[in-house]
Amino acid sequence: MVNLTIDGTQVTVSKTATIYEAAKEIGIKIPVLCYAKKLMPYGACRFCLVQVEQMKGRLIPACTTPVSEGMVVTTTSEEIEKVRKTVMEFLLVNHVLDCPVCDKGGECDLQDLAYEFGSTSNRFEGEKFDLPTDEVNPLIERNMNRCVLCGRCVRVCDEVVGYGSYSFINRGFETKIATAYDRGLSCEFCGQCVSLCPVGAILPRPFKFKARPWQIKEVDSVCGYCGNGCTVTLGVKDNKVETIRFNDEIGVNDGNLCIRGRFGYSYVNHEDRLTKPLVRKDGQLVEVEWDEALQVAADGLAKAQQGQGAGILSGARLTNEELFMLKQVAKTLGTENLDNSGGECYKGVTEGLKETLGVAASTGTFPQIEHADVILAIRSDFYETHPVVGMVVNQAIRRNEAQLLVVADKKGKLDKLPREKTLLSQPGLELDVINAMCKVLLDEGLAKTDGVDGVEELQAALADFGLAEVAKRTGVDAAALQTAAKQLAGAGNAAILLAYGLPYQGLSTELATAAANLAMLTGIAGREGSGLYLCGEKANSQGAIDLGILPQGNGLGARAMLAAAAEGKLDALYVVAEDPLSSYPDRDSIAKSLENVPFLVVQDLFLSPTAEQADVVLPAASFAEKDGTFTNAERRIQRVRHGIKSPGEARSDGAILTSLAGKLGSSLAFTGSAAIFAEIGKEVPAYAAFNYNEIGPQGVVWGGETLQPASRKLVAVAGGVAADGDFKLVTGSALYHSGTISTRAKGPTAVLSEAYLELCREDAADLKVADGDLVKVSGNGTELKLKAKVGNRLPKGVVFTPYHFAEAQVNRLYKGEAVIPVKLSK
Amino acid sequence: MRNFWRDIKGTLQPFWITLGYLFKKPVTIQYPEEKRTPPPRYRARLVLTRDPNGGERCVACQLCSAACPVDCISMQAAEDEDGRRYAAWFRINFSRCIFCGLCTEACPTLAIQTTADYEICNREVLNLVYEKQDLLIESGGKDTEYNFYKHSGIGVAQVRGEGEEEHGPVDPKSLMP
Ligand code: SF4
Ligand code: SF4
Ligand code: SF4
Ligand code: SF4
Ligand code: SF4
Ligand code: FES
Repeated sequence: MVNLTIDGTQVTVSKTATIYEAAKEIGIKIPVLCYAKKLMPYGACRFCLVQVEQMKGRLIPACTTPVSEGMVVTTTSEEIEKVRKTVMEFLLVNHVLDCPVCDKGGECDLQDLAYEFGSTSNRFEGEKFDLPTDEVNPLIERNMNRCVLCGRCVRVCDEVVGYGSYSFINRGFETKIATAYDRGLSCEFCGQCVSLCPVGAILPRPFKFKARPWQIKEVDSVCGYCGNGCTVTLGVKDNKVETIRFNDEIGVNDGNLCIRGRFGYSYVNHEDRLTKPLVRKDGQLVEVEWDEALQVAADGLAKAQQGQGAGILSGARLTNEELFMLKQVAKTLGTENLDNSGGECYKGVTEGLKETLGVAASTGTFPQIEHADVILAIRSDFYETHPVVGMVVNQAIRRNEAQLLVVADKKGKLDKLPREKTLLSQPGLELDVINAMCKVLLDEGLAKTDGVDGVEELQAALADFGLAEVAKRTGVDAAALQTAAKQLAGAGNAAILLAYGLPYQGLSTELATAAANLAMLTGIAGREGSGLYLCGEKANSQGAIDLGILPQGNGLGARAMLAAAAEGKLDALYVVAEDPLSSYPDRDSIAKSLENVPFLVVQDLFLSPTAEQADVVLPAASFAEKDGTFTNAERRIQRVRHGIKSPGEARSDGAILTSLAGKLGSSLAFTGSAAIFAEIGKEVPAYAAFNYNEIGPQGVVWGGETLQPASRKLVAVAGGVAADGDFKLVTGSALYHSGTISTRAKGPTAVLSEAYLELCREDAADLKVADGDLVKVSGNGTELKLKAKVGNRLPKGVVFTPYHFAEAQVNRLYKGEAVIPVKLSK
Repeated sequence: MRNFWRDIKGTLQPFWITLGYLFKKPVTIQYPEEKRTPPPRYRARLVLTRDPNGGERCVACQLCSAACPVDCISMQAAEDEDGRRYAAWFRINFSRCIFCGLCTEACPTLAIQTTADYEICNREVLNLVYEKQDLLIESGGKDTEYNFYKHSGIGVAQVRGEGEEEHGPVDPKSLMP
């Protein structure tokens, strides 16, 4: 700690603080323009100049100068004011007078500072900027005439996002921010530069001219897409979510968002939203009143339960409170057939981790990843599935010199960074690589085996995972594999990342078990600052597991339910917030299940392909229309807040489920989410510690920052099976989308509107296909036509296709396996 | 006794003044038969004016609506094909307007201006909600010269480099020796 005096006030701050941060601590506001909390100090604008007793003779920038013992700082004096005012005049020499037509007006830092300094005239004269605007892409507009060259966009895109779109070009008065070759912006469109630009130089296009900041109601909520659980601030005007606002004061994400969170909000305003319940009459879905629809649904489900039984399939985008009510519906109905998210993908958590570590959740929290020394990402570099955690990984590498190890079948985005090592393995064989790492640790005596059960058994089971064999089988370099294992074992803090979700069903239990073994042998599991992260695809995947939306007693899981339905052994299916036909593996068998099940109730936002088959369709509310809590992939329970009214007569899932439970004869009634949350505490002990109304802006983490494993039991898992065939197809998540719902949002679809088949240049050359050509993909007894996307991410012989797009029907090929052998032809 | 004279005087003096006014020109007028011409800066009905080229001056910046103490102005901004920002609709509720003129002071484009037209009473309150077509006039109002886009909106309403505080685009490579 360091003591210093600022404007006569004593202050003690940490020795890494800057003068600006120290002053902020005691409530002294130093004007800044280029400073941003989450970026490294830069010192571009010179607004923050202060006087320091010990550094007489010149003014010192407060935002870049670290504090030192006994410093005496003056933040305002006549001289300082004069200099700051002059700086303002310099900036205004070439700044355009655009405020009335500039969307930043009202929240522009330059406007605020000009107002603060009373700058109404300028002693200097010069040319105004005169540059064309960049409106090539549909999401981000760049008008460099308004740029103040603070470098915040350059820095955030590099330091946080790791994409590096921008850079300063030219010199002197001609300096400007440009992309490579000064072309139009074409990047991953996370919108971080939009959030950080202090002026109106970078603006969100979908929000252009929509409203002034003071007309917007801000509602802090949680992103409805992935398990990252980013805080999003809805900008609501006239009962419409018009934009997502920047807020770095609250939440786990430091104001960072990915394209889905930043630009993917528009599906909530979509005109195709269901507004009235539908019931099938004479083969047609017709609009009916709620009471009728609920009655038909309740009667149908109850009747089915009397017969061969009913099953309930849920998605993981319901709030915890709604999931609780769903469970009540299942109980009232008397069915044990309950499951979420296709049933297979989360088994790594509920079975893999449960068996080994005795817990069913990630053991660390996301902020810890930034301070990890070594990070191991399995199956993908995590950026596609959980982009904002990917940004944390990027920061760990850049700021804290962490080593990133990726065991995957393709290179990831972070591949270009120093201290990144991708152990490129054959698809489906990542498991072998992890097993081999475990073996290296055991063989070389690096494993931490105190209090760990099953060491001998594992050692025996791993006999044929010797370095050389595995290297041969998987294609990973043996020496690199060995080094990676050693790095992981030797790290002070380390993190293992593994994402799960609908497209990652194959080997999910086995991979998680192997990862847990590795976490135990390296001591990562349960160590303060380290963690094993198993992160769900959807906003409340963890909540669904915590609340036990799983097969009850002897009940059927998702797969079994669908199989039973296909065989005519299940009389009703109630599908909530899911579109199995579009997103579950093996579309043809699902189509058969939906066809053969006598009674189908679907509750969703849209008339999805599944809903089109239903007997009753109940219109539900989006995340922006309800109150409740989501539990993100690091066990953080956060408040979701109501921002707008639902369209038409759509109701929140909670309200629908409560009415349905009532119709089915339940007498349970709750007065709002807080009451249900309290009730959840009675069933889920981990939730009992919290009070709904006291969940603060950072949320609350159940189980503490580091979740202690309940057991430490090594469980051996066999290796994967290499796929034969000319080409190996893997499916997964694309960065721009999450599940199928984002394909209804304008932002993500503007960047990626259809499925594609990604392949490497060599394969493309062999097949003589160019970017955009249609390629026939045949395998698993079907054939699809997909547009080729040629890149350099994939190794030879491996092709990738994202699973989000219902029309592409990728799930006819994908039947839940880790890798699909396919044939390609033009 | 002194009070007595004072009171007598105080009683008679007003009569004297009244008597004096009897022979002067009356200030009251017989409205509505007779009408008065208000001074040019009189603050009554608001209008939206046009720039010298006949374009709509209002850029829908919302500043008038923000300045208005009774919140009686609303609008929606939209973008024209040439990039110009304009009001898709613009509405003033004159039943709420207090004719303070703060909106005209806030307006950076001189679009919204007060006029001396004070005769807008109506029995039907909703008739006092004026839409853009009711507000827009064909002239520049009190200032016929000013054109906001000549000072701003680079490359929007005129060819780039032809604005008043603008210079033509520079090719930095031309500065190379
Ligand atoms: S960036 Fe700020 S100062 Fe510049 S025109 Fe826009 S609102 Fe005005
Ligand atoms: S574009 Fe914005 S963030 Fe980037 S340097 Fe200019 S003013 Fe700063
Ligand atoms: S999709 Fe995930 S990473 Fe992206 S903003 Fe939403 S929660 Fe964050
Ligand atoms: S004159 Fe005053 S009250 Fe009337 S619209 Fe203008 S600001 Fe509002
Ligand atoms: S202040 Fe002027 S330019 Fe802005 S919206 Fe009002 S009338 Fe239009
Ligand atoms: S804020 Fe310190 S130099 Fe810009």
